[in-house]
Amino acid sequence: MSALLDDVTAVIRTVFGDDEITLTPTTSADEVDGWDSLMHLNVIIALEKRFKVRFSTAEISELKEEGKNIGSLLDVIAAKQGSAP
Amino acid sequence: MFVEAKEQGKGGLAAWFDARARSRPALFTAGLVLLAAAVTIGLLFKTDAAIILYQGF
Amino acid sequence: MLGSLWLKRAFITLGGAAFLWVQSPELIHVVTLALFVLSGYGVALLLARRPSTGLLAAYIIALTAAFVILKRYEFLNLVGGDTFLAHALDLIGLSFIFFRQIHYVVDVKQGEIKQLPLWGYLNYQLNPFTLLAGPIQRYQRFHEDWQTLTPKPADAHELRMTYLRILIGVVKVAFIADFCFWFATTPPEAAGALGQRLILFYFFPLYVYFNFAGYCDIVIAAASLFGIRVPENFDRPYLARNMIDFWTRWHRTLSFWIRDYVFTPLYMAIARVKPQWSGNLAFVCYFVALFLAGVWHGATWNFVVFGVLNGAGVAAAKLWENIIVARAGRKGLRTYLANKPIRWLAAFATIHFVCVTQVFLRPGSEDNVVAAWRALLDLVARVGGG
Repeated sequence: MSALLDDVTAVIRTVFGDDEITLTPTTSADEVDGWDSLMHLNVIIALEKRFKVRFSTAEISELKEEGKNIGSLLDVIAAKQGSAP
Repeated sequence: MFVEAKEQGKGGLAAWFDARARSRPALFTAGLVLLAAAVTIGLLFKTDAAIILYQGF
Repeated sequence: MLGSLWLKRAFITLGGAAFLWVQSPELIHVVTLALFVLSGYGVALLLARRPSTGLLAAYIIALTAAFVILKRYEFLNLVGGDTFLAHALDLIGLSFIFFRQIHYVVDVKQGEIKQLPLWGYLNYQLNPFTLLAGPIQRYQRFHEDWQTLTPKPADAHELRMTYLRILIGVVKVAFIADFCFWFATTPPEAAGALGQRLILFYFFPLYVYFNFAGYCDIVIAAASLFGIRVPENFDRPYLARNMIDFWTRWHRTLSFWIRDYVFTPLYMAIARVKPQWSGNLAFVCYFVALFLAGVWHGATWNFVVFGVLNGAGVAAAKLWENIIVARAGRKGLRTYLANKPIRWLAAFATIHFVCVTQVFLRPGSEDNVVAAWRALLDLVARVGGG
């Protein structure tokens, strides 16, 4: 999981143009400066490219909700990779 | 922005009602019944009441 | 209350049917509505078996065309004269059913909805709590509740608060909103011409708010008694500091639907292919999304103006945020957002802008819009000719 976290952190740093960003599984969107709905979509797109997965409408929307955090994101990605051929 | 607003929390007036309801349940229930009665009567006589109340204008 | 789940479901179904019959007694309307709703279920079954993007896209286009014709959108005049407008169908709650249906088929296709019971789907679309005017709840949550229908108030206190909410809702709709409408449309002579205009300007939006918020109070509280969670639609809209913030506080379920089924797919489709356009793409997407939200409100030309104003309002809000970030960085933005006097000034300006947009929600405004447009065309013709 920690290799995945590193990969995801690298992607998010690129999207935000900020190398200082540090993430843990419990970091939530509002703890990261500028992570609004729009940035959320940019992050999703970048993650889709990096991990060769596709997020559904419901998944994208749910990940932005209260109580969701980087850990939730990692879980979704891991599940998708698990089911990839 | 376009950020998730939290589910409606117990702010201001709602919190006040909530506190009153918890501290004096019997009184609150009585008030509720009165309000229901007032609303029912109000609905039944709405048109007439409107004419009387608004005559001032 | 009622013993088994089956009984509860039957009760809600019968209640919904009775409500629908009272609201819409003519058979032709009910039949058309049933066909509209059942088409979604049929397509969902196909999509569950084979998730075809082509089928989904074709269905959404066809459904939207049906919607536009059934609601008699004025622009149809331009493309086919009276042909499409010549029917007398008037389907209750169609705008909300339409949006729920698109959400349903999209989510089924994407594998987010796995169980497709017919009875559940029909009640999702036609239950008496959300039939008239939403809130637009998502199928997944309804489905969850439909499995148990346990009344939501957990104790006597919550039950009291639920009854209070119903009563407050009735007060808002039947008394406060009524008064605001009456006052806005028949202001006292003593106020003078300007005063009367101002009263209409401020009190019509107040009427709209109390009418809709009150309705939401009633249906949300009532639904919870029957075991159905209906999402909130309002969050103190008068505190909104800009139009984007406003739409997360006013008719929230509509904004979230628009965000998930218009804004996000539109933005993602373009940004995935042309990431270099992402910067300016946001404005276009915000505008298109809120424009569509605006014209969804009604079929006449005044709603087009309503849509344009809302689209412009949110695009401007995003532009403003970008300007601040460009000038002062994210830190500067945070300082700006934390500034209290600016925050209240922003709220003041936003409320007034909202009142301006709601001028175009008024019944009768369509005539003014058409007249103004004609006058503009005349002017252009004269200037061009002269």
